[in-house]
Amino acid sequence: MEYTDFFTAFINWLLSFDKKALILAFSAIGAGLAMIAGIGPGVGQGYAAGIGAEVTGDNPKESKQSIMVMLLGAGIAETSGILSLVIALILLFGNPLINLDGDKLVLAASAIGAGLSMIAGIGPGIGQGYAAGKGCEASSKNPEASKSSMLVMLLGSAVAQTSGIFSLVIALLLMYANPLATIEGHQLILAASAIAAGLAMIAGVGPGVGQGYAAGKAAEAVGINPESSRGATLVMLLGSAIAQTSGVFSLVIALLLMYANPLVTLEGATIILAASALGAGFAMISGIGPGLGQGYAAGKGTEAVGLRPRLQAEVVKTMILGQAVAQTTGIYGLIIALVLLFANPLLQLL
Amino acid sequence: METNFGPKVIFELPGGVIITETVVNTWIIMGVLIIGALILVRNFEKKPKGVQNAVEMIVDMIYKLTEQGMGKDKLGFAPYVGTLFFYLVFANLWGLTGFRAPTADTNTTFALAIITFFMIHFFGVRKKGILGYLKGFTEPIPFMLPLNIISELATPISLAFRLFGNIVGGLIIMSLLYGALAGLSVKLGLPVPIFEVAIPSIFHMYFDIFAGVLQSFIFVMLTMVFVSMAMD
Amino acid sequence: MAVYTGLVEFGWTFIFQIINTIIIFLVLKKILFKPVREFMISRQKGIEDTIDEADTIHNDAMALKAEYEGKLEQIKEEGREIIKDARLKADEQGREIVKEAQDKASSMIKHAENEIERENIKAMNELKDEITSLAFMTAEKILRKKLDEKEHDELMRKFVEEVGETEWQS
Repeated sequence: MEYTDFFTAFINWLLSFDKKALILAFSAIGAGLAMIAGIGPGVGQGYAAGIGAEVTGDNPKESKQSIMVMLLGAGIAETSGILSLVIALILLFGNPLINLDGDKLVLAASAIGAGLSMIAGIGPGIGQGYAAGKGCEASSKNPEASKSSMLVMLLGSAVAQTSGIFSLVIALLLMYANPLATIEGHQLILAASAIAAGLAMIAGVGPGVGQGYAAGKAAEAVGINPESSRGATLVMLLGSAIAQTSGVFSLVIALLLMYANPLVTLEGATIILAASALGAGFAMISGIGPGLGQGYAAGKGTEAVGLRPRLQAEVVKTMILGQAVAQTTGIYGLIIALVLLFANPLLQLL
Repeated sequence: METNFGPKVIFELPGGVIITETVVNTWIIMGVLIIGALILVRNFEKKPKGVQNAVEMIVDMIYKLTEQGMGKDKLGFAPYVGTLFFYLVFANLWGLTGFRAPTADTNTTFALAIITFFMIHFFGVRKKGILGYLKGFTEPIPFMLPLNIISELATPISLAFRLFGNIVGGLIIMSLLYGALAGLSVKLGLPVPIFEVAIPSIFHMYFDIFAGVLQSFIFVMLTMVFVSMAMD
Repeated sequence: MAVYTGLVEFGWTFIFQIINTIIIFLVLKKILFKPVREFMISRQKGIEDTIDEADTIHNDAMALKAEYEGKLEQIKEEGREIIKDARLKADEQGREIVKEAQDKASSMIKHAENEIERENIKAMNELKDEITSLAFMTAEKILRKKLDEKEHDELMRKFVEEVGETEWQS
């Protein structure tokens, strides 16, 4: 059979391999992709370590407690790196995909999707590292409030982990409970959907960094003014919850692609449908921006409430209004993704 | 290994009405809450003691939370805020009992988010009048109209999936973890599945207790803030 | 084999969950929030009322106390006033009595003096009369012997003048 175009040639080339070989090959790529998340903890922990050094230089006698806080925070910042490592190791040593029934192309693509999804770990890594640094600084500046600023830092860091957890869920679903593998036919669309689900989750970088920033600011605020701890924590949680929105939208698209994939029910050119799935995934990456921006707003809001707890209502109002506007481009991305999935205009153009 | 993380169908009523474990678990939680409330409130005395103190403290906390989040003029929302909070905390922690948390179902989280959505718009219209309410969509500039509409529609989606994602994420990770630990026990030939006892507890702490309570709080707070912002 | 619905699938559950939420809201509002809230408000009101009542009673008592103290003070003042008045009056009366007595005494003295004067004059006049008659008798005796009637009258007149015009006038 003569190959008519590059794409068909490529697909046919892939299909020419043995199922297990194809899955293992793609798992190698997936494992590598997952490790990209290591960027985050690297940056974050470096920042935390830098602050630790600074603090030690400023106040060597009192630095023991703050260094402890820094190490604890940095340990948490490592989480997404560890999660990525776990996914990579599973792909390498205990690959569940080779035991699954289903189309080899879909399963192979799921390995890539799982790897892509884990890239979101960059966000929590950076964010939690920032929080760790700020927690260390707060502890050094106000050793008496060290405990409460550390608690706020830990709480905020746990929140900042959310998008990393979402990514992990998608990766695990793709690997262990792949709903795409149970669907008959449409292999190309499903394979693209698996990759797209992973792509969409990359948006989690934004919320991760943003929420980490908010967590750091909250620790700082509590360190400066321990009495404002309640208000600052509240605003940090609210702001972080909103900063999570684009991560949530990405999760929505990923889950739709996996569990309620509309593309497999559509009539039309397979290549357009498959590419639409990928397009939807790419569109969701826009969520990085709102996540970062809203997280910054959350951090500044927390700082403001920390300094002037009485103005909490006004600060929250302004913060949320601004965050709603900052969501705009993320919503654009969501709309394009939904249009590509549910009301694809391209199909009518053929 | 279980590959389907959707809610189980418990029974089907005539006419194709499917009752899933989500609904059944919700009924159980409703029963627990109602019976609990009846028992706790039954023996109220003028001089509070013991349990009554705690109940009063919690109810007072709900009213304080409402006052803080919405303002003194909107204390009438406190019963809904409280209901939502109790229901969500119970629903999110329901996973600890070994049953499926009702909030690990988009139907539940969307039902709650849609109620919030209707509250936002109903009370917005009631407070500002239909014209004032519609005018809000053209602010700060009329050009923002489509964007404002989309952003309003995005609110319930993000509300619903924020909660769902957190709870179902925990559910999926926990069930995969239990599966893996069970596999490990079998592989090592351990007579007692010690892995399944010790290791998951820390994950339960994070996914069920921490995320569950935090997400309940966040859902309630966002509902309060959105509704009160629509009214101001 | 259990039947599952999809992980992301909307169905009857959605309707049920909306109804369930509304039901639990209405029930909890009725059996938990409203009664507890009302209970707490009524107790708080009771406490406030009790405090208010106690305040009122306290204030009343204080007012009463102040009133009585005022009254007592007034009474004391009045007593002092009365005593002062009485003393003044007594002084006045005393002075008046003394003055009256003095007046009476002086008037009695004067009266007595007048009486004495009158008695004096009376006695003098009687004495004069007696002297006159004595003189007459003496003169008669003499005249019977020496003097005629004419000489006798002149002599009588002269004698009377001499005895004292002044004494008669007073």
